[in-house]
Amino acid sequence: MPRYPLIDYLVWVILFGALFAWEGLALAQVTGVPAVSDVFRRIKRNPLGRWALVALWLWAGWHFFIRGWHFLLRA
Amino acid sequence: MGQLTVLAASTDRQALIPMAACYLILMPALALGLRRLYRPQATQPDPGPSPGPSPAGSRQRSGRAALARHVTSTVVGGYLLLIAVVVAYYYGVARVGPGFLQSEVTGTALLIGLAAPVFIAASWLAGRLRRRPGRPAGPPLVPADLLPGQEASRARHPLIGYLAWAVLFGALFAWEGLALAEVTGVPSFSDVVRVIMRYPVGRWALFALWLWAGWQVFIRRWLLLLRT
Repeated sequence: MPRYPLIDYLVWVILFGALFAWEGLALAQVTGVPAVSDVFRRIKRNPLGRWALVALWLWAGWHFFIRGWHFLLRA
Repeated sequence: MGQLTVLAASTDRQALIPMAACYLILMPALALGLRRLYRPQATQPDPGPSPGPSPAGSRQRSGRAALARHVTSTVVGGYLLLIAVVVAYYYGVARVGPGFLQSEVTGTALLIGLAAPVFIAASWLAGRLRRRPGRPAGPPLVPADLLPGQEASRARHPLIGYLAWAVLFGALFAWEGLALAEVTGVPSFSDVVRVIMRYPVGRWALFALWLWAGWQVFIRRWLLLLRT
């Protein structure tokens, strides 16, 4: 596994921190901003958007939990 | 081992194209949804008369049928879209190695098979909890935005709020793109996840998070249809 300086991971922490902070503001209903579920609801109004979300979810599952396993494939 | 590392890095870099395609599909879908939400009321299609009172059993049966149809079409459509993208990626962008296509087809099917019983159990549990005596009355029986052909709930937020989400997700995708392109030498999201998944607890937590996200996004809200 490649090693990166710890500081490089901090960008990801900041980005996800911003996402969670924005979602927190939305859930606290203090600013009138939409929650992420509102965004997904907008996307899901369109069948293609709904399918893209499912595809993204499935792909993420495959990418993180399945990729590299061969017990079903016997390559 | 060295070859495997090179293959993984190469595969990560080539993932740039489908990742960008994903963003470019999701954002227009969001824009279309917002257009429907924000267009003037006069141009909205008439939702028609509200459904009259009907026996609870009949409502529940139609709710179950609607839920089954919705979930089936969503899962099948999403699965087929993913396979189409993967096949196009494999033959059009990069032949990333033997077994890739089979792994995608069978692996994602396996994930659906794993998630389905969890979702069914979670749905059953959620229904049981809602029907517990003494619980206060919940939201309306069938939210308007879940009925086919009707517009979403009128809870409007400032457009800038949605734009902020688009920018935040855009920043995530852009940073991931830079990492995959190896422009900046920063770790990709996969590298971050790999660090977490080195430990069993991290793996379990991530898998639980993945399942929860699927249930939350695709199933939970539709359970309101089954409210009696």
